[in-house]
Amino acid sequence: MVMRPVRLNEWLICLTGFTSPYYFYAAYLLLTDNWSWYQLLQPLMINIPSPEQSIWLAASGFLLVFPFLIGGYYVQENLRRMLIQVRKNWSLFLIFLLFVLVIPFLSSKSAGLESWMLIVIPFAAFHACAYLYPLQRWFPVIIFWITILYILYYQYLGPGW
Amino acid sequence: MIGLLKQKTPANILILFVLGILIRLPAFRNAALPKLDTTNDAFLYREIINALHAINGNAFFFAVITYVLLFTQALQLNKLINDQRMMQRNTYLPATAYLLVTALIPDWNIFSAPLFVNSLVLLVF
Repeated sequence: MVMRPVRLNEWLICLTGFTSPYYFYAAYLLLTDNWSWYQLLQPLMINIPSPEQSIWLAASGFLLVFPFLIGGYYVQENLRRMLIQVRKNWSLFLIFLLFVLVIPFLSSKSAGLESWMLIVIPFAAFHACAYLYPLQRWFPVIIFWITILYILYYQYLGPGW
Repeated sequence: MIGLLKQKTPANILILFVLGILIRLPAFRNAALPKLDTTNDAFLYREIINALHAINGNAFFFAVITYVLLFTQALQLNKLINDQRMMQRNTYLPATAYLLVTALIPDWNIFSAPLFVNSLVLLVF
């Protein structure tokens, strides 16, 4: 839908799908005598997420972003060899990532790192490209083992879980 | 290991399962109960937490549920990428990447609403 020309029918169906859970939730609230507009439609608030800053978070962030950028480069390189539908799928992943990055900011109080969990889907897809496409075999192997070793180091010699 | 996971053989599912457990062993040993924020969390998530607590309120139980969800999400993403031919060849690398990425941030290994939503998003995709 995002990639196709705008058709009113499709957007109306999308709107119906978006509002259906609210309809059933409203019916539930009404039937259980808990009805209030505030419960149904909570006001949109904007808050800055405040995860605890640490060098470990920075290192995790680096290991998330660096393979993502490498994967993005290789997807771009191989884009011309892909079918149009596949190219649209990659664009869809990126649009999804853009929306998901904003979600933790729309919270009634400061959100933690768990709110960013939805970024894992596009990030994992691009990481997979960073492991598959490089012609030099040693490069993805090094990224893979550095990630594994960092995870183990964090758990056993670092702050841990 | 990358070479092994580049092959599309069913045995890789078992390898991934074991790899996923090995890189997050402390998540099972020092399991944490899910945070329930009554002001922020939605109705459906609260009901799911209450239902799971009724079955077993143990933190280890939630850690197992979390890992099962993560593993199934990894396989869902892998299937999606392979079916749509989004990469040059069919591999288990997307599932591997998913398990590695989720192990980087401890908060992503605790049962939470976004974790549950990930399964639904992958179904919708």
